[in-house]
Amino acid sequence: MLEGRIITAGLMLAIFTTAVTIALLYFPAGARMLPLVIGIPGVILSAIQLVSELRKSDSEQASPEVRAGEIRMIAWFASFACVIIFLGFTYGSPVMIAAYLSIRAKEKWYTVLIGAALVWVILEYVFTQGIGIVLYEGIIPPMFIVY
Amino acid sequence: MNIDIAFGTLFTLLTDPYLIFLMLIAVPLGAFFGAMPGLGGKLGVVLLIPFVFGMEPIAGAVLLLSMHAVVHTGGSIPSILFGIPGDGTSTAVVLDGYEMTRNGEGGRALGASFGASGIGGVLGAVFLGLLLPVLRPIVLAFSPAEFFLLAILGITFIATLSGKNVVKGLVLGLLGLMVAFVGLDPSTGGPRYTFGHLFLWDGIDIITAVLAMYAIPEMIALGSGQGVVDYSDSANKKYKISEVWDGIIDVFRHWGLSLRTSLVGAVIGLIPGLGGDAASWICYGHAVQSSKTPERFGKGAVEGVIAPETANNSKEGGALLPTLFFAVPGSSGMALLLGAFLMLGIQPGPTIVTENIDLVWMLIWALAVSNVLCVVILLGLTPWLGSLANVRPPLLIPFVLVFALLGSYLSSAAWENLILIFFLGCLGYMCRRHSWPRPPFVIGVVLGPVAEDSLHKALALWGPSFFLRPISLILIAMIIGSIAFYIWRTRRESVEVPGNA
Repeated sequence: MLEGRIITAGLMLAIFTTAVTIALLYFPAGARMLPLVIGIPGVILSAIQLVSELRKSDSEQASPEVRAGEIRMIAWFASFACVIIFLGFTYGSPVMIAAYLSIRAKEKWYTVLIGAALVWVILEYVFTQGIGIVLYEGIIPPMFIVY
Repeated sequence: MNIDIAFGTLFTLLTDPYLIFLMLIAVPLGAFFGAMPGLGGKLGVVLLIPFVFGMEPIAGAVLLLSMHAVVHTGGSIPSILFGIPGDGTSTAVVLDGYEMTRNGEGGRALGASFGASGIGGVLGAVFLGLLLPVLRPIVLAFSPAEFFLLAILGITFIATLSGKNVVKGLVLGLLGLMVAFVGLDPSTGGPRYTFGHLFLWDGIDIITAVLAMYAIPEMIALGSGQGVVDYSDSANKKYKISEVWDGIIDVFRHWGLSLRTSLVGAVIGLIPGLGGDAASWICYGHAVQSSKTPERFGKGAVEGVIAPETANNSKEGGALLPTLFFAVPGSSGMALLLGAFLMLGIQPGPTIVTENIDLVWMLIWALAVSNVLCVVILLGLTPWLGSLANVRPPLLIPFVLVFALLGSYLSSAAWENLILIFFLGCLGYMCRRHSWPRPPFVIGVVLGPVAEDSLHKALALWGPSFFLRPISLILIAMIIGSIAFYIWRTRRESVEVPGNA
């Protein structure tokens, strides 16, 4: 199985190669100067780093527990972003705080309740009504609530 | 120096109840986040960013800077009480601070740390204030040609100083620059790397990039069990205010050392990328060298606490200088502040000297006053500092995630930023996990637009001959010098390590 350090170096090389290719193919001469000036050394240096990682013999594999924890946390982060995109900040944030505190952190019910209420109060009374910021409403709430 | 503006802004700061209120919120928060291993001061600033949205520029900047200024003071608390540095810059304090605690002098060590931090913070701000009249003509002499080279120098410096592997640092610095090119090209007006998405026409904003590179990776690491520290054995120990006061007096007993290390810290802060680790270790080394009894160090010498702590806080005064006047952040924390300043409508750069000098003075005083406030507040909280061990940082993860997403959304009012921050956050975590230094990326994102804009202007004004301007030549020499220094250092280290020769 490929190690994370090799994947990271490979990803850097892929990003720079794609950026340079796009600049060469699609940008007019004036617009592609700096992306090429920066991108070409980026390709060379990331290729050097990838070769260096491939030559390394020592393994830096994380323990299965750490790896599982990482995947779970990335999934939680993705869930936070998705739920907020669909429900907006005012409704999505308390839902996700409650979900995280109860499912992941396994907190007592009153901690969960206080956490969710606290974030709702901050968003509603500090940001929306206090500072006057229009928070992102999400995709679903505007279908049911007239703002 | 315009004395009226200098002291008028101090008077305004001290008599404006709103600004004092903001500082009273920011200072304990900054100390708290600094004191929590696994959280760190940058996360505190990240959490505050959404709250400054819509604030007056001065109020928002004072709030954020006050918080940032005292992070290192908080960072010394777990170093001294539990032997665990709150942040990287507090590692030097562990050597003697924790030994003092083990010798039953924890209160005195805390006092020395608070006093030294306060003195260092104030002297760092004074240093910046005194440099202003000298700096003004230098800043105004800089043309687009010099700003382009300064941007390149900033990235080279940070890449060569931010870790053992300069290639990784340079790759991430270049990647930051590439990210900065997303959006409309300033010379042709055509879209670059926008992939047909309108929200990318304005580019990827700095706040999203910084949040993704710092807040998100730290939360993923904390949530997956990395960086969680258990120091419950040391919990709830009480410390007396009189012991702490004795430590504060120690700073004045060693006034020469305090002055020298404050000055060294402020000068190191001026150099982008050298950072707090270097400042604290260099000053610790100086304390050992200049002591008549160097054998006491490492066994609980109070000078071993004073020297790194003064340097840690005074370097913020120095670091504010390139951040404000050249828009070249001296550290990742300053890059975060720079992004927030831009969001508040403050445009760092040479024009700040001519158009916004009162803001500069306000920030200088905020730096000094917040350090003094922090000492007073922490002195009052002394009896309860041992209870810090009861706080569970993982509980804060969902709140940090929500406020990071909120900060990212508010920075450009685009919900698409929530998708962008996810992908950049995963990239940031990969970098953290595999020891790719993240500061060059952030500096690249910040300096990218400056570099590109300056290059186009310089080419339009002088053509390629702009490289031959006198200040340009000095900057080119500094760029070559920083790379040569890195190569020399690497070769020396490889010779010194047995088996590598």
